[in-house]
Amino acid sequence: MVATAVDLSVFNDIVGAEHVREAAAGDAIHGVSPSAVVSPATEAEVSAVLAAATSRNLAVVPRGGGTKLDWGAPPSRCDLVLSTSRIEGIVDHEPADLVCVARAGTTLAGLQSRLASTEGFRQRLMLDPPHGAAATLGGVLATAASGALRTRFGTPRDLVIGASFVLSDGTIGRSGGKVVKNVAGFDIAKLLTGSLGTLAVVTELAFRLHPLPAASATVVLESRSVDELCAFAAAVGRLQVTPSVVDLHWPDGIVVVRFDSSPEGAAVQAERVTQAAGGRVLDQQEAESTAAALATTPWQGSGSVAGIAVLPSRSASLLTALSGGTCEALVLRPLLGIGEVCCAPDSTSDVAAAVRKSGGRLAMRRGDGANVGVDDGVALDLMRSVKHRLDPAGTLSPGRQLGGI
Amino acid sequence: MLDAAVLDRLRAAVGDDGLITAPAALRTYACDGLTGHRVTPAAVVLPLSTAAVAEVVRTCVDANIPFVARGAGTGLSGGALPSADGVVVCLTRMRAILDIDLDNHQVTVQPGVTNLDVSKATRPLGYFYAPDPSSQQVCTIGGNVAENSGGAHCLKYGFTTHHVLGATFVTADGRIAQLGGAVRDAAGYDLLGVVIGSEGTLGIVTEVVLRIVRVPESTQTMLAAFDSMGDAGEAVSRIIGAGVTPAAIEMMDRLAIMACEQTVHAGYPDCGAALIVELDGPAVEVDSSLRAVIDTCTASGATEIRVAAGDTERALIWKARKAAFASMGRISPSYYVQDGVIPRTRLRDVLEQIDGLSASYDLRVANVFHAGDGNLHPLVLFDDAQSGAGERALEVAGKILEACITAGGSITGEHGVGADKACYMPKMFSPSSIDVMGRVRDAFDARDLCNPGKALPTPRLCGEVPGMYRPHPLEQAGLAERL
Repeated sequence: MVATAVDLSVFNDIVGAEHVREAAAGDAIHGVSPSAVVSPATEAEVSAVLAAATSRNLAVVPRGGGTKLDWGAPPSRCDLVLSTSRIEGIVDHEPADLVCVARAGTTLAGLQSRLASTEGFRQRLMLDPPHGAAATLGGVLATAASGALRTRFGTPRDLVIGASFVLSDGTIGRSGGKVVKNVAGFDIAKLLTGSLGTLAVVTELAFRLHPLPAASATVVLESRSVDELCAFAAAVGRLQVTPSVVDLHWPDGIVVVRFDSSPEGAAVQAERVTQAAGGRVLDQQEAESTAAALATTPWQGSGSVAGIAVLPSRSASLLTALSGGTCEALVLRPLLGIGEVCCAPDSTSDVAAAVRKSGGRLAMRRGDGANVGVDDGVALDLMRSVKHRLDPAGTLSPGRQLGGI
Repeated sequence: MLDAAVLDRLRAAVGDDGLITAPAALRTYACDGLTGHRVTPAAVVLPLSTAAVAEVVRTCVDANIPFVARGAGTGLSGGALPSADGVVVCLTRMRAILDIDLDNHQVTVQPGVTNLDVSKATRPLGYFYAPDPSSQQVCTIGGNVAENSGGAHCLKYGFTTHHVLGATFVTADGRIAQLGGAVRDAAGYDLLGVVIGSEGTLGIVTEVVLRIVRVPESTQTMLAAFDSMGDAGEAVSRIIGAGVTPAAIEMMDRLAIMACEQTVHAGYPDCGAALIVELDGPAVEVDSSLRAVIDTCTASGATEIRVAAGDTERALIWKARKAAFASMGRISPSYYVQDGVIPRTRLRDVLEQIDGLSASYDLRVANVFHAGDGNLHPLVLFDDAQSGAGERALEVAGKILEACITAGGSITGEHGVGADKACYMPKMFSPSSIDVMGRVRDAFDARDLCNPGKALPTPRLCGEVPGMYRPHPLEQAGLAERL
């Protein structure tokens, strides 16, 4: 698609000409090429850029690390990419409060290394989404991306406690705050979680942190039987233990259960799993090498990737359907019934059929394919209504969200 | 009085015994737990189904009548305060637990089910529902969803929003939507995330899918005595900072302890401040954390530490804590409960400011609160027989809130904004932030009929100074009475 010619002078005036450039081939969003990339540095500049774009009827797609631009549908229009790369840095970190506030363009990896090295406190934001090294906080929120830690700590929506954002008309807003417990005002940050950049450009986020664990213990069960793997995971779920990770990898044929706790706490819980449900405890070296080998499932190949969700109790039947050769690789969090599956591009419809048969949902994250999910018409109307109120001109990432929103 | 045709339509939706219009019976619904605000509604309906709720809402919308959903009415911010010309949709007859699904660690309930009943139904099976507001014996899940309720144990387990997977939702124009659900990762916007905690202003939840949690293997509860609130606050910061996440950390000051001892006789030590710390999880982990907490408290100057020897002692410790508000009657004719939040690290500083306010206004302030998450509940004590005492108490409560905002905190941690604090919202949020929230509200309820005047400030309400006995405009106009 060829972008329309855009007069960039107004954006030069707002952010400085050195922070506006013509788009290159690599700037395409899901195959749609913008005219230019604008990189504002402050909330005020974001506001001015968006207001100017909206008044000129230009479509704007926000971009953080650019690691998940394939999540969501291709934009129906894209004139400008708004890069958050200069909206960067930690604004506030009070370690004893276990809270930090950082600008949206800060990379997750950069934040984690700062948090882990604070004098006297070793902390972490408990999110480990795919492509976490280059991913930014704003992008992780916009895609609601999560990884193995989701089993215990949830998704960005469960950890975000405040947000600053800019609407397409330039309105600057904030919700929540920097305290963990807070019910003042609507929780707009949750509405923005997974919104795929269609409602606002996030400029700053406050997150709840957790201490880095003193020790970890890992139990694995290896099997070629899908039923055995799923039964093991379900048995772990019934025990009085609190695993951080319960991940099933296929075709590796392994369930990895990890406990993060005190040294005694981690060891005892791991032992309880082996006694009650089976599997074996790994020594530290093997635990690390196993984790490293499985860390990129199922993104390591070049096939299409989709996020899937089913009722946890349907995990085994879905896995049975997918494991017969339909998929190349998958990771499943059986206690939650969610995961990611990689398949050959011409198999996406088979994966979709299996997910549909299990009563589940599917959303494409790399490559092309139709999403699967029970779309509630009234809920979709409400979503359109929210979009219309917050972005009436349709400036932000048009077409990226469900139903062409 | 509502139009006869409207009443007929409501009656058809909820049945004869589900419609209340007798003035005496209506007065029962005039207020929630914030009893200073009272407005008698025009009618109350007690629907039995989602379809009936939707028909009630459509009836109200067609007749342009405001409506407010209500559970047990235990809210403390006037969130369920009716409109004088409006309808209260009371959901307490929809109290069935529809499904307990252990395989998927979830239950499906109607909104009128009480919070504690979810745990009662699942505990024999080894599971419980984690959010535990102090009113959990009577408060309803629907109300919890509206307020995003927390409780003493939300320090570890999170709030209602972390435990709701899905909801059947009657929109403000009477349609029925499914938000989220038993299967995670619903496509599109996280509407449920903004509905939870919206104080009933976006629609009415009529069925809720809740996550249930495995009962922990071990629970240990300890009581630590300190000379001062400052020392106890320091201990809280150090416990959290050391990487221990207790299930709960509660604090009570001398005055609160005194009041509770008169009521419950739990045997709390005579001290400047007491911390209640509860740890739960696998036994080994709990034991090692307990040792760490005891060491931290000792290092922070604890004068006495008691660990509950069993369930009976634990229950007694909690009984005193949970009786705190009710016990204030023993030491003061009247009190005002404030609900503010501060970063945990500012506890010492803000508690000193509260002390200062107490001294300069010559009013006693008892402190009972969720220290682990910095959620203060100062109880400003006064004698309503003394002229002007109530006003001074409100002034102190207001200044405490301002101290919370200045410290980087919030005007409410769990009681909600409701009718009570709508006018404080501009102190915490810019006009443009409030405008964005207003736009979200409009997206759900463009007619402004669904619990109007709550949660967000309106010029009509906030032209006046907020206060406990502020006359409602309808009252002034002679359209409503305050009883």
